[in-house]
Amino acid sequence: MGRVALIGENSVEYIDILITIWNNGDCAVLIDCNIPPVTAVEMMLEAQVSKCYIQQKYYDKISDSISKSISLISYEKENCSDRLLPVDIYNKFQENYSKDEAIVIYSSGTTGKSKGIVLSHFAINTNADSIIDYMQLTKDDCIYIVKNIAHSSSITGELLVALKTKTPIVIAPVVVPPRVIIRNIETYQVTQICINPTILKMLLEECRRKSCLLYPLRNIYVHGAKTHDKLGENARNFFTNSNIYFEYGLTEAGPRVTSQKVNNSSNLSVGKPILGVDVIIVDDLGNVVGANTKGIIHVKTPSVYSNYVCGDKKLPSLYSDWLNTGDIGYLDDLGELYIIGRKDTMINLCAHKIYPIEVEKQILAHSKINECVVTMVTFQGEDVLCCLYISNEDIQKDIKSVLSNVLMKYEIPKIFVRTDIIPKTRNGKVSLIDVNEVILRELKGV
Amino acid sequence: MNLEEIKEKTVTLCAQIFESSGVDTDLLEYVDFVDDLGMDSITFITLIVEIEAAFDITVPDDLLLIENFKNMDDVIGVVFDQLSESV
Repeated sequence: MGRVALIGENSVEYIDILITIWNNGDCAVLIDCNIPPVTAVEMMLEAQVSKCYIQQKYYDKISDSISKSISLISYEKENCSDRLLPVDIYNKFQENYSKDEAIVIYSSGTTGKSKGIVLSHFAINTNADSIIDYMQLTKDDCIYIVKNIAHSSSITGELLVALKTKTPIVIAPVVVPPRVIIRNIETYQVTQICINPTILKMLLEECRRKSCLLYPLRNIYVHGAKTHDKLGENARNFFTNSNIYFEYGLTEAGPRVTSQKVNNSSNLSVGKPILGVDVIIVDDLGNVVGANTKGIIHVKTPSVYSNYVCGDKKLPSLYSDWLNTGDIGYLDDLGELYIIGRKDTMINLCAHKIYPIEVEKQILAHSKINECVVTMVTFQGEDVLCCLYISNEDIQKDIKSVLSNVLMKYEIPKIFVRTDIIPKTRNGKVSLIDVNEVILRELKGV
Repeated sequence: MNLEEIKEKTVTLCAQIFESSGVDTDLLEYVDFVDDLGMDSITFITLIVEIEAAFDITVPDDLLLIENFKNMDDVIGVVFDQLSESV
């Protein structure tokens, strides 16, 4: 068994090659085609791949910098913008529950540093089975992969689900304006999409502009990053014909951990653990805490990852052998999980624990603020709590007095910087490194 | 709308979209949006949405590729072509 890299856009050919790699007993190293060629080569070397299937249009970009130890095999993508996955691909797929490596996924976190995460066939297939359990697909359903297929949530939560249940699935370019996504939903009568909050926001804005309600859509699953309450509420208030379910997961867990199962417009949790998965909240000392108490989310799942490609970067478990997610959250009285933020993004300022997402939630409650990020920046030797925000108006003057009614004094950002765009990683997560740079530039008056 | 007006409007629009990169507006027409400003998929989609709204055009599907919008000339060219076709 070896590792084989796969680089390309979402296409039928991509899925065909992926299944061939699996049927040959190899592990597919999925590298996002949008990452810089030098980084792609680094990932391949780190994962020790023997060969790489690469879509023709990316071949020239990478062939110059690739090591001779890796054989490059180019493939053509059919010149077709969107289509349903053909039947012969479904027939080619073989279910596999072995503990052999199935995929290596390069996940980018908020720090922007990618980690190669190894998931077994058992991990992704058991996770897909649990997702099928709650998606309750019928013969009338149709899934549309709106995100890049090289992500664990697309592979497990959409592709495998479709292959296992023989549900029609739309394969189309993903880097497209929202109007194209809307058109594809209507053309193929798509009933299920899985999107991140960034795509949800874009779809909502476009649908509002066109007074379009995405009628065929039955379920919209939102995951990949924390959805701010305001966006979640606006989306639920607008897409009244569709259920919007918020979910939680991480590649290391297969990836899905929790999902909402009932469209409850007043509930912006990420739901309860899915079939076969358990969640507990522990404090810094590893003690399990009770309902409504914040702590570090630990997960027990059969779909846990095997290892990281390079070195042991596992977060030490604080509770038995459960997976330490590094995320802060709490379970309510009904067992619904709420995400607060990352443990490593928790800000410790003058001995005060500050959860940026909690502060952002209050800032976003201000009607004139569309989006914001709270972060700590070190300027002239002093740690300063700052907020980068998008608004049509400069709200510096009144926001602090508004916040003083709902936040502790130390939780109110000292500096507010207005911008047009919040820098994001290629996965749509906020890039804190770039956010801090934008703020520092403003502070320095550059 | 003549080419100069298209250019002026496009520069203003791109300056807003790439504001977080810190690029000087005067330099926008000399930079590569991907290599120099790190344009990612989300920024690309934002660029398309903004130019379609600003010029009331629809970029054809076969042009919806990042490589067709790598610099200011590319963007102005697409806008100019679409406006010309709609006349």
